[in-house]
Amino acid sequence: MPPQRQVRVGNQWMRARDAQRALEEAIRVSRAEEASHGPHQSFISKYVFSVDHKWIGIQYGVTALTFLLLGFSMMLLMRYQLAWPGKPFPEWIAKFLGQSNAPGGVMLPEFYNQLGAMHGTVMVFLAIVPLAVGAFGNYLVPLMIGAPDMAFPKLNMMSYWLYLPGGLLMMLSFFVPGGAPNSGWTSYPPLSIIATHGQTIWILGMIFLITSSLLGSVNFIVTIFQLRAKGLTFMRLPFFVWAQLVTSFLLLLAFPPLEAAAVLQLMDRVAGTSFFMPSGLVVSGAPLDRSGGGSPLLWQHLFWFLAHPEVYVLILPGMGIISEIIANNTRKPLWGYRSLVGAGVFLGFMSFVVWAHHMFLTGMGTAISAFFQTTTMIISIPSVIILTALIISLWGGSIRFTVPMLFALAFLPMFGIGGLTGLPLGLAAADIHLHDTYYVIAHFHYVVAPGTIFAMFAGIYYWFPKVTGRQMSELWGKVHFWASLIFINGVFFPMFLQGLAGVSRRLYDGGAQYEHAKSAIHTNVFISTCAFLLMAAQVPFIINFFYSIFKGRRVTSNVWDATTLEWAATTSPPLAHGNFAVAPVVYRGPYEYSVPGYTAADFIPQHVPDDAPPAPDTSTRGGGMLPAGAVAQKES
Amino acid sequence: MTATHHDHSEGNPDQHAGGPPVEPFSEEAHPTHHHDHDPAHDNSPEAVRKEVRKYITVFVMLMILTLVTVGISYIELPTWQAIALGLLVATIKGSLVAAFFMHLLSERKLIYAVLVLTVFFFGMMLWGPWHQRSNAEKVWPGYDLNASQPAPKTPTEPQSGSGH
Amino acid sequence: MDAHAAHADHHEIEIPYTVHSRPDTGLYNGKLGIWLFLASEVMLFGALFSTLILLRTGAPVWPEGSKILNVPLATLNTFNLIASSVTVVLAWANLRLGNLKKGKFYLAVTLFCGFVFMGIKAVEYGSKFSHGLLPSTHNFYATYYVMTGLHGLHVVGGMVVFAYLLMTANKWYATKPDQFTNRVEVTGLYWHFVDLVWIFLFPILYLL
Repeated sequence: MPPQRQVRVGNQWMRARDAQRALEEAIRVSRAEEASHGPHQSFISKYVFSVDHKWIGIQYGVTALTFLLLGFSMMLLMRYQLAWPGKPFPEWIAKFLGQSNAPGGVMLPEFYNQLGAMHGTVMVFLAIVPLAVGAFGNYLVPLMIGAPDMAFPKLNMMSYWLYLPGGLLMMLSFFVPGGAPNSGWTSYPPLSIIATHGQTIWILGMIFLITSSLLGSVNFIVTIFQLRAKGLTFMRLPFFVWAQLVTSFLLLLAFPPLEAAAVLQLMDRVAGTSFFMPSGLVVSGAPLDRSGGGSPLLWQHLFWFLAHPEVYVLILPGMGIISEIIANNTRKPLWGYRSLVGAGVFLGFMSFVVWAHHMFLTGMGTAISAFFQTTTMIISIPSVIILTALIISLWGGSIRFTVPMLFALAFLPMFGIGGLTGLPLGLAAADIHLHDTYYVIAHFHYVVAPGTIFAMFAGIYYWFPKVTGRQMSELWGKVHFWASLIFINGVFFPMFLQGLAGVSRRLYDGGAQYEHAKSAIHTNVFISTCAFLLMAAQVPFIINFFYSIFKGRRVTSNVWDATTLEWAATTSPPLAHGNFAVAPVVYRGPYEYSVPGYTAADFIPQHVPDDAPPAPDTSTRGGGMLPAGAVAQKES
Repeated sequence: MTATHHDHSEGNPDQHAGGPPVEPFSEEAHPTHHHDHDPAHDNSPEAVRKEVRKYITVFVMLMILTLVTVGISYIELPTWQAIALGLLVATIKGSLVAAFFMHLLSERKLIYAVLVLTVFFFGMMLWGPWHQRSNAEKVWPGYDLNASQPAPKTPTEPQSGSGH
Repeated sequence: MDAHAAHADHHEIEIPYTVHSRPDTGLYNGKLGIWLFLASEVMLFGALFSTLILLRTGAPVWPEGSKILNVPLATLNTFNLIASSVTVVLAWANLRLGNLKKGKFYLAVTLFCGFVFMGIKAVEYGSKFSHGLLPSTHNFYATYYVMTGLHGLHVVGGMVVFAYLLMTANKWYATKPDQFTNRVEVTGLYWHFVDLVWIFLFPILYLL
């Protein structure tokens, strides 16, 4: 607010600028007092090998966002090649890529494949899941259930310190002879077995990441079952916590088969075994000297047994975030909480029995294809239930168009498009035409990019005040939102049309050599341009994010007037001090907004007892955006 | 300063961090030991000795079953029956370990639920690839490359320079 | 658990239900945690069993385990591992009775059984390698080495934890006997699982 405006602090009026300064001073004094208490924790144990879930969450968040940026940059290099095949990169990029990847500034097909495989791997395993589960989950779940920390804080620290080396190892693969892994993020044998050294590094990196994830999932499940505050029954949990619980079960039970498969692939590559190598394979004209008898399809089964539940790992936390934001910004409870919970659990269960819909074109036979087609159709039901419940939640709401809410509102139709376009892919007959085309790329990017990533952005804007005690700029948030929404649709929508025309995935020249592609590939220029503009749209976000950490407007602990427990802790709860002075006791469900008969405020937090006297009227102009328990303003 | 002068009677959600957490379900309010007739949690010497006797009994049974396992492998049986019998004995042994050594018999519903779920997914994971491979020749004649290749040298003799 | 005690131990936040069970779930944290981990291990080894089934049903030639592998040694190993399962549960029983010395004794026996197991495996592997029978020779060997190898790694992992428990037993049991006993129980559960896997591996690889 303008610094000259007068605000009421306690029983005096003062200028907003002075109030801000006084608040900063008070915080500095209280922090200094705290720091003088007790033995001083070393920097290493407090910030590097921290066992505090909040700091670990921040570590995960910063690392994951960095990988997100890296993964996006890899895609931009690919998009340049696709739009203008064979055109040299600008001087500065060409120098960075080096002669081995882009001689004369022109990208080699081998390098294109490397970027493709790494883009997928980085985005799925190093960016989205660590952000959704490692960052948001770690920071918020203990707070939302009223716990002092996770059940196993040291295990939590180990999870992060397996993730980071695993991620760095993956990135290091760009610098080994032969370059990064280049057999797709799916690493299908026999190609991945005879591929360059980078693939071995992919396997080793995956082993780190899977172990990290397994430790984390055990931690989450035990925490949610064992450390819930008194009165917090399962049906009073915020949907975000349910989403994290189901996600953790998926990670727990689905990742081990991939770990086993990775070990088998490692054996094939370095010990010469033939788990995935069939007999009689001929490579570059010479028969391969191996014992044979293996099955490339075995890899596909084991890989997709993980990778299908993995995609639900990618979307569920996002749905959890969106649910919290919608309830808060419509000032009414979510519609169909029980349906949401039931659908989420059913979705998690079904996700284990649909994997072979990625294998319809491997010649499996009609019986098994029919089975997986049926389960795939069934699994669309809980997704629709969740989306419908969220949409109906808007009805009759008093909607506040805050930046988190804008992203949440956009998530709904975007996920709708992503989900609905999955249906033709799940039908084996239609999949014959669409498999391995750009249609698939458009489908899953719609779910993950304007779907999950928008949910991540929404979550960042929403919980930033809780983590830092400051608020990000609303104006630049809106700029970020609108630009991202427009350009992301520009990138991915035309891909549906390309896919329907038959343009295949993973083509270095974008399909230029195929007759059937000629009608569609001119859109590559449009798509790539939108991609570059999408990157430009992230710049205000990055600046806003870092600037607001230091200079953002300070806010009170419950700036959004929310009901869930994390808002009962102070802003930026200090590390290694537990989260709550007294363990909260829960008296009601998670979305008690606009409770009929309660006029003091348009929300009742979960931890406030029934017999507490009504809170003073903090709503101005019908439940607007002003912080609770804060300040009245003099209209000047 | 405003930040510290909150009156809790107003139901202000602000709380300051720090201080020890209190167990929501404390021992005094909900003592665990008296309600539990679960032998695995009863620490009296008599109960523990009874348990130890059970362990020794199970140990002896497991040894006998191991001998049975080796013994039945000498019986000439058609493949499917041999596999079924072997797996049956192994399952009995495994169940004994799980039920008595791992106290699964007296364990909580939650653990059971997790295990039942896991066993179901385990079953799916075993069924899928097997079903597909055993159907492969029927669905797509000539699918199995091995069938058209000369059989690899039987590995009962020592191999030299094979594989890699 | 007063304010001063918690404040003095600055870095250690007290997590509820580390030692005592939570009434509504009836479990303490470590026990739920280890069962969840074991569930994931079922899926890990399950994937390898799935691999074995698929490769074996698709193979035109698959040798009989009993003709190639050393059944007597493996039978001995089976007895060995089952015995170690008994000793670890006896260790836990003794700790619950307050008998640290006997508890440590049985833990040491368990650890010793682990060494015996790995020793016998080393003999088996060594004899195969000396005949040039490597994983690359045939998928029979590949599956044998990978499955018993991964199992062996799990045995070693358990041994490391038992060694750590033995080394810290005196200090730990003196100050926090319940927590130490719980740790032994939890490690025991893991060890039983390792035994369980072997109970299935033995007939499937060696006898069928």
